[in-house]
Amino acid sequence: MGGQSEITQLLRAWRGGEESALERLIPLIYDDLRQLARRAISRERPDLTIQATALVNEVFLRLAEGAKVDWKDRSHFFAVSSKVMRRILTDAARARRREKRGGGAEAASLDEAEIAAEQSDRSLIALDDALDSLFKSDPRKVRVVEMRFFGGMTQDEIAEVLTISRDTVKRDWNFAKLWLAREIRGELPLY
Amino acid sequence: MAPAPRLTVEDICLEALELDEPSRPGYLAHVCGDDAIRREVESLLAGAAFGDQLLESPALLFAAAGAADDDAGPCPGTEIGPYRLLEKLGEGGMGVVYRARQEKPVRREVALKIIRPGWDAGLVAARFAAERQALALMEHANIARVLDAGTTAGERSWFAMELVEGKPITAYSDEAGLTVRQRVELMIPVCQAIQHAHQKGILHRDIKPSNILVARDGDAAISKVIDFGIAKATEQPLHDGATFTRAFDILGTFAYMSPEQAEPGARDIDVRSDVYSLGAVLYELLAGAPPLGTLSLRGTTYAAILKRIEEEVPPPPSACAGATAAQVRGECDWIALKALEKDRERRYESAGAMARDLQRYLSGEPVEAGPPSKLYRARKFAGRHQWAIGGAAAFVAVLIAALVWMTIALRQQMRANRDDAALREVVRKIIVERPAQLAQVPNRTALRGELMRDAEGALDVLSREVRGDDALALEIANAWLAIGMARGPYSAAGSEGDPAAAAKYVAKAIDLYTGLARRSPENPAVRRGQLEALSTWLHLQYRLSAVEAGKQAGAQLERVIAGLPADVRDKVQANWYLSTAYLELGVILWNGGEVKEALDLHRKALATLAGGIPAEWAQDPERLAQLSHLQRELAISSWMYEGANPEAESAARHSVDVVANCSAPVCRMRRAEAAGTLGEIEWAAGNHDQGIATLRHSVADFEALSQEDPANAVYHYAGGLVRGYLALLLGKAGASAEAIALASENLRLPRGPDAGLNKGRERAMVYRVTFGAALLDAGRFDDAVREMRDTPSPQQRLERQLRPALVRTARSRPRPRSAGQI
Repeated sequence: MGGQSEITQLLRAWRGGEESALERLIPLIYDDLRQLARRAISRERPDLTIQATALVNEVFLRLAEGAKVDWKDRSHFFAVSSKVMRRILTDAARARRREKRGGGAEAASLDEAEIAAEQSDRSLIALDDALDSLFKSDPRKVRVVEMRFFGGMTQDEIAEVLTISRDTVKRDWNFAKLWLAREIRGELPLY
Repeated sequence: MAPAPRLTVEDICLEALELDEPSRPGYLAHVCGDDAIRREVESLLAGAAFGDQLLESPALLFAAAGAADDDAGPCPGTEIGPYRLLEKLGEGGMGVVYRARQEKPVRREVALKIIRPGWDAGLVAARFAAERQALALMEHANIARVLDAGTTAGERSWFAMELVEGKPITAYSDEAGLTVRQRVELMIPVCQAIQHAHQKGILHRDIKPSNILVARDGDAAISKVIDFGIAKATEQPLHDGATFTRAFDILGTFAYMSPEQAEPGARDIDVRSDVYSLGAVLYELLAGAPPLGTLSLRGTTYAAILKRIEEEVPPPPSACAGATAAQVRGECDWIALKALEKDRERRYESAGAMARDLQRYLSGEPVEAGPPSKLYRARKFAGRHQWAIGGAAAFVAVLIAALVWMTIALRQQMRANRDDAALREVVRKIIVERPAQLAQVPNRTALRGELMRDAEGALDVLSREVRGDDALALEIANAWLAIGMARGPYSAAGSEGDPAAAAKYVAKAIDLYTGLARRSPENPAVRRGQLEALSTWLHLQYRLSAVEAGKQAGAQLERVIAGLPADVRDKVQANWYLSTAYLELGVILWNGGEVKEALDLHRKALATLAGGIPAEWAQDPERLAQLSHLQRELAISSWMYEGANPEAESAARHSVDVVANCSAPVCRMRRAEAAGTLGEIEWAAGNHDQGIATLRHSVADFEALSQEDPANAVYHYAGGLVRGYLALLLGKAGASAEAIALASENLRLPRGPDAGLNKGRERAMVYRVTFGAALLDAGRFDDAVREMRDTPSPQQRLERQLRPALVRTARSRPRPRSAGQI
């Protein structure tokens, strides 16, 4: 498949230091991941609340089979996927918020599940905004958060992709949490 | 942000996070150069808990919560095509189903299924259009017709179907409390309906209980297959980019999906894939759950599920059927398993053929499906026990397959009247040597049973062909003996086995050997086999508590040995067998209460083995175990007859030492037993601490053995006995709490089968007596009396071993003035 080998090439280029390769890679797998995420978060399938890693792993396996992607590219693929996953999930949350507001459903709801759902969406959107702000001062921490939170990667995998020490990953993660929490808390109603 | 002198805000925050909260202000005061930095740090730290909470679980779970309200489907009242939605009937993996009303051109109610977003509606419509003509040709009372299809304004596909107000076939059957017969009756029209569709060129591809609805129609129950044509239209094939969603689309149906359909990129699907799914539904109707259980992705991966679907052979439905197992066993099992064959070539060639077989079952005719072949059983067995036996599975599978092959091959050879030494070699290797190897595999009690049944079948066939061929007769005699030994004697198998069954096989071997020995008295192979068989026979008489038969067998063995030609005696290790004869006879006499005679015989047995174990057997676990057994029996009879004395203690110590370096289970069991005896004798000789330490070793060894092979009742039993002794002695030593704890462990042991010497009832008695004794030692006199009052009156060896200890224990303790105190 042409699409598959293109993915391989872009992964290699990105690993070789070509940053723009990442941006070109994203559209290629966006649809796949979007559909996957959609299935995974569909309420009717509680079995599918599988972790992001398992999910992305499945995508990777399918792509890798066709493209004969070098196994070493796995971590890098995860890294890309986590960025895509962030986009997909926050886009979905924004879309739901728009829909609700459009439908006049902003009025207070007493349904607990609905309140929780709304909180989740608002948190996710606030997180997305906060990550954008953080990116301006410290892009690497944003990467770490994406890979860990959206991509479900381990500290070791993240360290490998970013070619930093595991300890640095841990520090970045811990500080990013503090920073993001402070940003977001102002955005959300107390509950 | 003002630059800090040394530490950045980040450094300070991270450092502070490592500290517990009360220590933080002090730390901050110490390191923050100015107030601005401190405020910055404090404002960041204030969010620590919230940050953890926010980012703790993966984003997807987070998003799942947000999407909780997604995909609920349109509200009743909405108009879709010519239909108006009335109410939601249910939701499935693929979509939401409504009751809907059509006004024109006809007024009717239909089931309207709206597919979830995520499917390409255009593609679905195109596929459906392609099948539409074929679908229109279907006309069957048990198929719900698909009437119409289209796309909603929101780009979602929908299908209108004949409305069936019924329940999934499994739920219906359970709620109506249907019998096995009635369930089979319900399945037949379903198979016929699928057959009808197949004849019109349509596969269902998604047969599962929720797609077979059963409705009551007066007194009759009518089943309808729904969703024909929908699975195909909504399938997302691998080649068009949406590949991996497939894994999730098919989730709900994994449990009913054929291996070839579950395969990624599955294209070559035919009617036999539907046959498999029918088999899976039948299986669930009979067994209460689908063949491989409910397959879900929780905690596993698509690849792992795929592997299970492809490889894991389900147990017959009767194995899971509970109360109805007896009705399901046999034909129903076979029919379900034939439909569920992994290789479609082996399934029913059509749904119609399956329907006919079910019909045959109902009318009591022989069914086309047969019991699973031996090869199949070997494979299944290997699969089922993989977790337990690892590499052993492979050789058992090979072994059983080879037995079947050999039986056939040998018969052909013999018909052609050819004497093929190579084939006999195979018999020997497979039937004689393998069981011996098997005895060395841990956790083999269950395994051995399966293996033996197959070996017996093969041997029976061979035995009929043996006339006139002494070489083959010898191999077969060896094989019968090997089976008998693996089946019965506790020493060879490490399990209590089935001495009565074993005796039957050994008798067959003895007949063959006796005839052979008459014809060739100087053939060492024949004579050794004969001695082995006779001594095994003798052992089995002891196991069967047959004192007279045992004495006769002992005398016969002595006679045969005495009659051996002089030059054969050494070649066949005649002294070993003579010693064995004395040993077994001694045990039989001991059991009959003749302790003095038993002691004499055990001394004689050891003296006969003046040179110890023959050099050729120095590494043979069975022989080492046998020697350990002899030493221990000598120790017991000496101790019982003369009290603790150097002969008894030395024999017990030898009994431990001789198997000290052998790790085979049979050796380890003998070592544990020997340590039990040694510990008792050490205690009796006044060496209390040493005795208790040795007994603890013994208990620990038995526990380890039990863990490795939990089905082996001998380990529980013999271990329980030693544990009981240890409890008695601990009680005497004043450690009452531990004694009671140990003794009460025994009360929880499995009872085991009521066979041979080790009767479950006796065991329970022994355990209760020791428990009672432990209570007695603790001063709980009334509790002890209550425990022991219910004890059945003890009669056998065990009782004789225990009663004196109990009496001694009771005597050594003054009766407490008030009961119940500890």
